[in-house]
Amino acid sequence: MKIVAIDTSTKQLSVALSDGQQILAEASYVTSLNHATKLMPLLERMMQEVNWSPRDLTRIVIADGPGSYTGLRIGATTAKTLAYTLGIDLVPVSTLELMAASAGSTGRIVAIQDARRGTGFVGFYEEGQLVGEEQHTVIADFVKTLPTDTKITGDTDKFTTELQSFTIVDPAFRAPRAGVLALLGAKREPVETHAFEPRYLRLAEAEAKWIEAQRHD
Amino acid sequence: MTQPLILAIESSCDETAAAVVRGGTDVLSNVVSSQIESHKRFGGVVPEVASRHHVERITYVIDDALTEAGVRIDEIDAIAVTEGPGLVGALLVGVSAAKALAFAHGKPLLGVHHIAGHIYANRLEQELRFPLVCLIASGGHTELIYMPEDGVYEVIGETRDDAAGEAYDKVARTLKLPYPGGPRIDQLAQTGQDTFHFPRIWLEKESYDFSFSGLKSSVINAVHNAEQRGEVIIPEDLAASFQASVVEVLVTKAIRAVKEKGGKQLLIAGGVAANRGLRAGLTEACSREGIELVIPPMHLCGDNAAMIGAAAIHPYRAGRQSTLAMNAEPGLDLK
Repeated sequence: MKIVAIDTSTKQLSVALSDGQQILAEASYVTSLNHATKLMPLLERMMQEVNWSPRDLTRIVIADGPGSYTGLRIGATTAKTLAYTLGIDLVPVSTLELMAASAGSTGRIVAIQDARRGTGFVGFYEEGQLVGEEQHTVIADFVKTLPTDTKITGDTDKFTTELQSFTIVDPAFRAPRAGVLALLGAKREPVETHAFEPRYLRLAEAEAKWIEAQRHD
Repeated sequence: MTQPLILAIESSCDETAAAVVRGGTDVLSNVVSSQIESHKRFGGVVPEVASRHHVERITYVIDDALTEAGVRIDEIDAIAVTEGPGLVGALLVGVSAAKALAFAHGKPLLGVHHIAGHIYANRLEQELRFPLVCLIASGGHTELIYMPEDGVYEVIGETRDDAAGEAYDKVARTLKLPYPGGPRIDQLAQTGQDTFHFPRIWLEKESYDFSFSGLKSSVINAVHNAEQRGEVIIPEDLAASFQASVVEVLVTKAIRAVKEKGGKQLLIAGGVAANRGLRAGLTEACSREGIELVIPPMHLCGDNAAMIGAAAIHPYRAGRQSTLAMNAEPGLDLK
């Protein structure tokens, strides 16, 4: 297998190459201000380093959200176009699952992405398995439902008050890594490439308002 | 010279489009997936919604363009894409897809200016003779461009406030016409009379610039005043009066530019080029002045990718390739 894994869903940009067993190359910009300009040059350079040609690829693994809308679209469009035009598998993996897995610990773990005004996107994982659903929620309410031995990763700095009674994942393991993504996606079932869309987990604001207005009419 | 096959992508606003064009003139396919039905409920294009639709449609549209052209991707000589101007989130989808294709198949990547695309839509139907003047009128642009030669652009006039198409949409909203309002105004105007005599905004005597916000305010005031006095406005006459002002200014400035610049042709381009009032006004003025008028066919007036494939022949022939670091450029200048 020759796998490319791409994560552009947060402020970090991460790309990895894997044979399905091991991570062969992995690179991240911890704060990339422009994923659009950096993604393809980085991928091209990494492929040259390991002597892979685009035609050799067998699978694209993409972190499909939630995350920054623009970042998600850059990654999703790149991934689906590569998979379509090379006729290879496209495998999406949740960004929250990736964040939880990148923490490298066992047991219960919650990944949080800040979504402003005290809210966040959250996913609760137990031994790597999602418990319940990933959701956009008020963090102060959500944490009350968690067992006390739950570890927390992601944008924990934004919720220090809410999270004070929990163990926080060490900053060194808090960033989502495309190498982990490649391994998570190595054995999963591919999706239908043309129909693939990122999981924004939230409607566009105008759409939410429009739906609300219909309800009042 | 062999004629290169270019796969072109356009996603600058609310149309997801791909086309295969040979040699800058021969359209083998031109696929446009419009989002207009989705944006109607909002009364205008919502950038975030447009961007999401582009991601949903992009690979279908590319695949349809190749299939309809009967061409495999490895037979394509270059990938062209609109890099700007436009909505940044929307542009990024086309740019990301184009870069992925160029990388996957080792093809040259060509960035194209959206307005250059609109101009070269004309060459898909007719030979261009330089120097020429082009009048661009769309929802986002109102410009007069002088082209001394093929592929060289000089912006000699532009709007200082609203684009012509924007003024149409706002007036349409005042008349409570459904989105998109421009074509509806044009339709109403066909049976109305210029009874309101709205002002013509000329700006400085020698200027080729435009201004439509004053006109728009006059129209909105006329409607509100009538409402307050309990008078009934005849929408056909209001539309005809508004359109008469827009068309007179556009036509007069365009004709003056052709004469002063010694242009051999006057081109029109952009969504408003589909406006029947403008087409009639320019046709009449050009035949009176003995100027050759080049009007794109209706189906090439709106945003499409065939026009991007047509304009891409210049960077292709000049070897002006873009790198994989290409970005979307929402405010890109025409150079």
